[in-house]
Amino acid sequence: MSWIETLRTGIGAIVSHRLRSALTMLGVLIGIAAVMLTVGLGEGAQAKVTSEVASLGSNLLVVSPGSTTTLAGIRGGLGSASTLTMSDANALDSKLNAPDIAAVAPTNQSSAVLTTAAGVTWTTRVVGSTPSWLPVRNRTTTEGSFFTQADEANGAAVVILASATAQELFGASDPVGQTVSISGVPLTVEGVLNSVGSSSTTNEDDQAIVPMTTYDNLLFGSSGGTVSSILLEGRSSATLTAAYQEADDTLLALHNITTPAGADFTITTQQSVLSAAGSVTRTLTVLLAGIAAISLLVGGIGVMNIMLVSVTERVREIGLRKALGATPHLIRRQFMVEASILGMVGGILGVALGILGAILLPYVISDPIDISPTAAIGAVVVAMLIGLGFGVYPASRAARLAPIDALRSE
Amino acid sequence: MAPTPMSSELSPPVPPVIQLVDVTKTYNLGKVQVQALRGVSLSIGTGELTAIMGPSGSGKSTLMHILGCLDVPSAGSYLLGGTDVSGMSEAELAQVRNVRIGFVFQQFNLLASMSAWHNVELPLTYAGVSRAERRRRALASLEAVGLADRANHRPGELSGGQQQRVAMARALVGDPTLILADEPTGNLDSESSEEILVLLRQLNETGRTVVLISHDTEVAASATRLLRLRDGRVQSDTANPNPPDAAVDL
Repeated sequence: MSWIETLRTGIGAIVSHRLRSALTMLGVLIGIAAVMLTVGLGEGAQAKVTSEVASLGSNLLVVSPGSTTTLAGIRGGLGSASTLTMSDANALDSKLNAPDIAAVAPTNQSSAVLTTAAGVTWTTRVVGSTPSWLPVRNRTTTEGSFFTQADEANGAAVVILASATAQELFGASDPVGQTVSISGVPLTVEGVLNSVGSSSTTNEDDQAIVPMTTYDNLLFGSSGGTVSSILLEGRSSATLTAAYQEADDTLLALHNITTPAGADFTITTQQSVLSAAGSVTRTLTVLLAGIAAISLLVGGIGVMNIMLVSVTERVREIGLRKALGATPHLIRRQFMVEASILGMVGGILGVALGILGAILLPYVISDPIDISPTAAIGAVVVAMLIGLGFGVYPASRAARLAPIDALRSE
Repeated sequence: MAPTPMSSELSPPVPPVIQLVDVTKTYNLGKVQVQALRGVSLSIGTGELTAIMGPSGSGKSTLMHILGCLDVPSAGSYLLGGTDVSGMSEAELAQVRNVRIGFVFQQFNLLASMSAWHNVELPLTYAGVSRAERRRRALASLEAVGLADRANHRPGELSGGQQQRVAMARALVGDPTLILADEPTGNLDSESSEEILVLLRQLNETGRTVVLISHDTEVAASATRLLRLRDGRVQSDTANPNPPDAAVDL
């Protein structure tokens, strides 16, 4: 008996028990769809984090005051002390000290109310920085231009708005050249930043950037030369480790700290943010995929259960087929083929449902779901193997039936 | 299980279809051993229509299973068309059943989900015959039992007698050496029974070897030879001098 005959007989048996076959497939279908969706969700989240981090600035290092370690010195938690100054920033900007650092942008930030001439108000984050902020954060202006070195030197009364902030304050009208007041100080809008969307912690499209000198002198009072963080841009991702080392060495020397463990500042790379975020998503994905895998296992047990029922129900048929010349080997193959068809069709439908879910679900949960062709093909193969694996026992039972016992049963 | 001197002495040019030599069959039911056959020796030649009769418990079902290669003897030897099948593996026996034996059962044993001709072609599927050839032979076989016009009907759409005729077409389709009918009329009314018996006689008259197992004397009366079993032994073996004429009824 050829494989095609076996396949034809198997399909015939599945079709003649439509409802039962459909319910069995449903078990596999749900399992496969769940696995596809959770893995897709994990991959989507991973891709999202990666793109978010990239949008913060390529090869970005962030120096924050304070330390995460607990040794003696001028100490405090991360970000709690004001140990970073403009002179630290200037030292890091020196090609002599740190040849692998391309640009340095010291920043301070506060929340403030912005008021237009028309009386529209909007509360947002106001960032004081230098012209280097633009390249370091990997941003561009869509309208007008960023403030210049001269604006920074003169403490010019200018402001750059992020896209969402500009939209809130001026609506559809062109903000460039208009006036925005912060704490009663009128500032001219020089430019509008491009839109990059929000990262997991902050909305990068809702902020206002002013020159550092303007921030200190006109708006929030002198901070005594301290800055809340220094953003560094490495020359390339390959030399980022060197840039990190140079920044670390320069600041340790400048702060007269001999042991690296006693540092009163912390340097974070985007890579570390990325890997932290990645490990969180990974844990979540593994957990969800684990749950989904259990549902797949349940689907497999369903296949086995139905195949056992089928063997019991078709004892006479098996006996007859044996009497007419079917060898035990052929009977086993027959049932294995039926089980794998159930698994495979369930798998294909499950992949279809998974893809449908990947298209529809993001509208509800606002998270992207990435389904790769590899995962889809893999899922069908796994479903078929599940059918095959859980079909072994029922098939062997069918093959072992003695023809006389099988024929005798009612 | 050694070949007996008798079988080599006889050695006719054409070996008998069935040759049983001192066959016993013992079932182990837990602690109890049941001897269903206690040494049966018989020989059935080509073209005979033999009826095997006996009350329940006489061992006729066991004998029929052994003759049909559905079971193997505990001791003794069984030569089917000259081949010793008593020591064969399950797969080899399946092959023998497929090629040499056509079964007709009391319960018809047709597959309900398949049309008549699909049921008939089943043995050929296991023999590896091509699809077109299977269809041709299945239809020819159905025609031989007078059901050519019912080829596409499912068993549920046929009467009991018609179903049994489909089963007979299935038994014939592989052109077997032996047709084994186990109470073929047990589930049929008298009219259908007569049809089936006539068909069996017709088959026999075209030269086929038929073994008919029944407890019904009327049924057995249509055979040319009558074997009575009792307590696992052959009680009597007589020729039926006046079998009914097959041509009468159809």
